[in-house]
Amino acid sequence: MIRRLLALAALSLAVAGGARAEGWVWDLPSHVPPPRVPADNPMTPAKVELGRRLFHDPRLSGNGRLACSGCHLQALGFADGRAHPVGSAGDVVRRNAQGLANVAWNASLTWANPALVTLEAQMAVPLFGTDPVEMGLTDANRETVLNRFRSDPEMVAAFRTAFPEVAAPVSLTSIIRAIAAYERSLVSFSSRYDRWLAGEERFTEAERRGHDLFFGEKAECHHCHGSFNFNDQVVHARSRVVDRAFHNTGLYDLDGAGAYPATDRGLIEMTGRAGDMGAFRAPSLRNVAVTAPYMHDGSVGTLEEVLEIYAAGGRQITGGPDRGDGRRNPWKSDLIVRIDLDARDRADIVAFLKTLTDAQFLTDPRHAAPQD
Amino acid sequence: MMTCRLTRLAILLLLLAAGPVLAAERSVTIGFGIVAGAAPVGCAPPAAALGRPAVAAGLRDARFYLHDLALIDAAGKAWPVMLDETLWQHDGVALIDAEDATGACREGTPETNTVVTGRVDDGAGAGPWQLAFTLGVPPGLNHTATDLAPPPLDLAAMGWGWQAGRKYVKLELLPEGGVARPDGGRATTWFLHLGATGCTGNPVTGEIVRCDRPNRSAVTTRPFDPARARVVLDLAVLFAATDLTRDQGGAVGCMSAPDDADCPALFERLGLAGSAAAAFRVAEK
Repeated sequence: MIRRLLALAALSLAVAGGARAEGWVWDLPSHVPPPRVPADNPMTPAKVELGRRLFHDPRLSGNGRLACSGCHLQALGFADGRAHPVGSAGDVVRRNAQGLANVAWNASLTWANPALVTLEAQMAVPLFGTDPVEMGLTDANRETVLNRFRSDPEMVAAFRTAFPEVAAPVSLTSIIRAIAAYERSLVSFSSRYDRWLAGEERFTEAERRGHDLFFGEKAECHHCHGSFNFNDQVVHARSRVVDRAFHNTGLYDLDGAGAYPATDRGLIEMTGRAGDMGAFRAPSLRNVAVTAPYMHDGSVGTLEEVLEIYAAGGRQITGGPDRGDGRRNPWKSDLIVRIDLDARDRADIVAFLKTLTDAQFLTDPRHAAPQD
Repeated sequence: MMTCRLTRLAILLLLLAAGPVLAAERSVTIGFGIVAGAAPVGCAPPAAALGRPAVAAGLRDARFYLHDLALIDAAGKAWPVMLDETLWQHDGVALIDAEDATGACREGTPETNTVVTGRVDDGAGAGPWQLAFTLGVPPGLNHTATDLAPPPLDLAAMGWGWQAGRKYVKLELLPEGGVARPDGGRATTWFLHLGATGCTGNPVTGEIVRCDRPNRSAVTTRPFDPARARVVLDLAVLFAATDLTRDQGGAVGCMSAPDDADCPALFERLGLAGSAAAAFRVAEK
């Protein structure tokens, strides 16, 4: 009888836990709407906690050597500081690892793929991708990977708590859902910029000038980086229309006809439309000062160089295999034009960009690897 | 939904009890295969000579999905084949699998599959029939997660997360001497990954709304008797105009990119260019 009562109590707790799903508290500034969360993967504290563990656990890779956090480091805004990440089997990834701050609001994931619109769907790429191999899961090792977690009582308990309604909770579905929930919890709105917005902090003269240039009609950075998330692909709980914009910023022009290097030609690889040559998603600039190197291929090392390229209206490469004048790329966005920023302008914009660094986010123990 | 399922189950039980209704249906088994001319294709040597110029090409993978199977009788009437639910078939989709996870095919499955089984209305007669089918996975089943889908849609190797769907056809060949790339480098594997491209996500549901190029191919064979003949994908025909020792740019081989110069010749033989799917033909068992 007592056992049955206990079971009932556990059940009601589980139900209450489920009900709290909708009660997940988004700790957001008043001007930021809550993100859109898939109906089949509501946020719960237990799921986020499981996701946090899994994200930092190399057992999730086929050979047990690489965790998601191997290419997404909290201290670097969840980017990895390299031009090209390296997968669990040594494959070099062609695109630069992006930071994960506020990914919950991204309208599409990755650099140039309008089909990947949920974190859950996107995860198939690093988990199962073969060109390149990232996490290296395959049909052959899928059960081996799951068994690593099934043989760890603590992890089994964490799966049960996170997915109380599932009979066999240690599954790839649970793993994907938990990591997606954790990624949605990576909220960064505590930068100096945010505190300045809230009237809690003052900008320096340079930061203030940089801010005005950034949002002004001269530099026009705001066209592609103007949202609360400093990008132009935003979706949230109340969005009715979602734009998925991709832009060619004139980084390359190998043949005078707009060609980007064959290793990565951007959106054209998905659509086949000539005008999509070299088109990529504008990344969020949250924590941009710590997510170097920059651009889809990590080919620009510093913010100062980025500003130089935009000031010139594109990038001219005078030697080597990528030689060509990206400034004249016929597919370049009309928003990228020579804007004659002088050295002080560029320095001030960089100063402003550095106010987007959220020190609390970069060290928050709620996002960090579990301490064993 | 549950009610609906129960109702369907009840009807099925009634049908089973009723006997005579089922008597109007008949089991049908269609043999399939992947060959290179007259020779079967497998992971073990000898490697088939393929392409132009011909080169010995070992196998790394060889699988394809098909759906919407129908028998076409002498009068031209189409009789849909209701596929059985098996490890190789689900909801009208079947997977044909010629690799056995040996040798270079190590990312595959040990089991192979060369038949499609189902039921067809007795009115289809005794044959010979033409066989009609669609190469690929239908939209409603294509854009699902491999870890959520039942077999045979659960295979990660046939998943195509990057394109948000499935690889309909996965043919991976290892030409002797490798593949020369336009950048001067060499690759070991020549890939054919056929699937939908240019897909965009749905802002409301988070699922796929539309693919510019669904790349599903409708195939119709010549008349044949399934007891004596089968339908084969003939790699000798498929790659007849392809130089497997050279890649022309983009992915090594053809991963369905709309502007990959290695794709058009293959798409034509798969029936995706308004032409008949010459790569599929009827062969004696």
